[in-house]
Amino acid sequence: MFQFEPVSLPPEAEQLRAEVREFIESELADDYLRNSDFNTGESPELSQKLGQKGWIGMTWPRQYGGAERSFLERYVVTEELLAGGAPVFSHWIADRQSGAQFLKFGTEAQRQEYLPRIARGECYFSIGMSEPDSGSDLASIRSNAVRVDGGWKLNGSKIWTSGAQHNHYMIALVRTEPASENRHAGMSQVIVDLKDQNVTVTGIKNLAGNTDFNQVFFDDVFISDDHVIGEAGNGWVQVMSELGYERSGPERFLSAFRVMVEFVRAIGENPSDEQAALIGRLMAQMVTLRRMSISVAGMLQEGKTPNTEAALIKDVGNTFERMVPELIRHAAPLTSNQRFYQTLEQSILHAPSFTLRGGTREILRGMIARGLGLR
Amino acid sequence: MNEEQLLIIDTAKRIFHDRCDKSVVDAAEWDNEGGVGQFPTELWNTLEETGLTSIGVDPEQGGSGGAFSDALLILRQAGVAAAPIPLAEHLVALQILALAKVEAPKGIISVARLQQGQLVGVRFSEVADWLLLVQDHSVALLENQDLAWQQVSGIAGESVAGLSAHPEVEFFSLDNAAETLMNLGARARANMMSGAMSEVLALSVQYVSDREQFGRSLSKFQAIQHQLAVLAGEVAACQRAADATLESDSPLDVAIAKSRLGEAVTQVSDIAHQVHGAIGYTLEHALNLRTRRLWQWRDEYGAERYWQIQIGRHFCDRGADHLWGSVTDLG
Repeated sequence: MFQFEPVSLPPEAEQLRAEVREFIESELADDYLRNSDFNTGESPELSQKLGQKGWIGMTWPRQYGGAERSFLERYVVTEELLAGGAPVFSHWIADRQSGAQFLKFGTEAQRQEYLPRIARGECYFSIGMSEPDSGSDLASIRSNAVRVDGGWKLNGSKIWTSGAQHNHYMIALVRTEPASENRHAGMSQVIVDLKDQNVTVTGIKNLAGNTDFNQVFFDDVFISDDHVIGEAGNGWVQVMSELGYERSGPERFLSAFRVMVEFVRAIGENPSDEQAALIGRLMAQMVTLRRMSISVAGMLQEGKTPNTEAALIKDVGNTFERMVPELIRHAAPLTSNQRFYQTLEQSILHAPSFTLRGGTREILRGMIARGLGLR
Repeated sequence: MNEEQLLIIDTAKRIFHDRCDKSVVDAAEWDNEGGVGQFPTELWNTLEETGLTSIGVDPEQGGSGGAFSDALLILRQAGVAAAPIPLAEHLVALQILALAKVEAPKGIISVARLQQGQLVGVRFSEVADWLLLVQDHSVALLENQDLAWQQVSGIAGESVAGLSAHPEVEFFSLDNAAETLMNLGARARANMMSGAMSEVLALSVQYVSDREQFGRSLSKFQAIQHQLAVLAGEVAACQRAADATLESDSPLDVAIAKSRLGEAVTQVSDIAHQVHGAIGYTLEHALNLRTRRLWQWRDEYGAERYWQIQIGRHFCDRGADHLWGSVTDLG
């Protein structure tokens, strides 16, 4: 019912792959605990180097600091960074979806203001969607901006905002008109300066003891008119258009990849049949997911909006990446290799977030069901 | 898909639609109470007249041209229709005969792996005119006459037969013949499974849309919607894995496809039967024609574990630091 037409990566993408791979190896210290979870580990220093290489905002026009390369080339860069376990979170959201919003809906001034800085790896964005009373039911958000002279005055809060303590801006979905019969009307996307004195960022520890997400409070934050993205009132449509970028990439099935790497290291070249079969089972799933994800990169390149396909990849991919540490612990050899255990434990601790972030399993399945014509 | 491929798919679809409806499949059913199925001669003859039973073999060698990937497209449609015919066996046999430079005989050919002088798991022995025997590095053609087959009904409702001794035949050498059979057979089964699964999904979507309980269609229940979403995800992944075997005959791609599809059968059949309720558990309903074949096919030409061990050893041989590189090398 859903089509994932085979897409081959072009030769220039493979050339690029070699460069990225070499770069990662030269950048990461031997004792760095690599993690393929995109949400784990930020390094502004690394992001700036990636920017210098031209590997952020790659698909954007040159006039905005982009490299006018294809989505397939961008795909290769993202998967190499994740598979290599590099700390990429600083620039990840800005590169993946904020920039695309400026290109699609932003004003010329906004593009010039933000895109070159993002592409240089110097300017980081957070996603401002969920609120304390609005998780999966995004249309029920209550943060609201009221009209004032020259702009809007914003009050309310956002939650589960990854990286808000480090990042520069948030693209927040807020109400600019009171809620009405049409739940999807009256919302707008606005740029919030996270360093604004009327914005408070409060860290929330996750169960692994890390503070990677936050609650962000808006207390009479002034949003000037030139900080509204697109048309006021068009926020819902704009948010929906981000989803294809947000959900179809390799970060939706590679999060536990380093666990597989350390497992293969621990079992060595002569694994038992059971261990070999497990790697075989996982690889059969992963290789197939990767090919589906490349198909969607091909659709994005053609200017399509493959939201349902992206939801499907994320659901199948998240199921896979949650399964990886659970199955590997059953087949794990006795080893004195601390790195294996640390990598496995990190993955087990973060795995619950895989099927929550970027759209819960339940929301995704609802979207797929809609694609099947069931709702 | 190019235009030629679309034409092949279209032709195959039309033939199966016209000549392989449910009554034809039902009539071909074997059972273990002595019921011997009625072979759909008309279906086979139509496929033969259209050239689809010799696709993938050069015209100089008596075939109708095209590549084995074209044969796989037809087999996918055979899977959709649950066609009770030895099309996979015949098309695979033709490939191997062509490789061995042995002229293909007239009639239906089935294949059998010869292990320690025994033939086991032979399909469609009741209708095959010839049998292609495959050993590690050699093959032979055996005329299927007066052989003492022990035939039973397999889980698919098609015959599965064994033979404890066979007459003397002349073997022709063919390097890696048995491996080639596993490769071609697994590609055939993977595509048949992909076709059957897509029909299982279509039947399930149709059924939950038509059936009403508690005053509304089953499709309106979130519990049902989510199960079908999972089903659709598995079917989409399986189709992509099967697609890879159209472009590539690399042992790794074949292994990945057979492993991925075989693994999915558990969940695909579980969900499809659950949402169909008791009617889907009856012999009368069309669902079981596909699910029983999926259960049969997943174990033929290597079940999941057989292929998973090969995949796993391939990656472990390359080592942890080249694990990712070995993934991207696959394309």
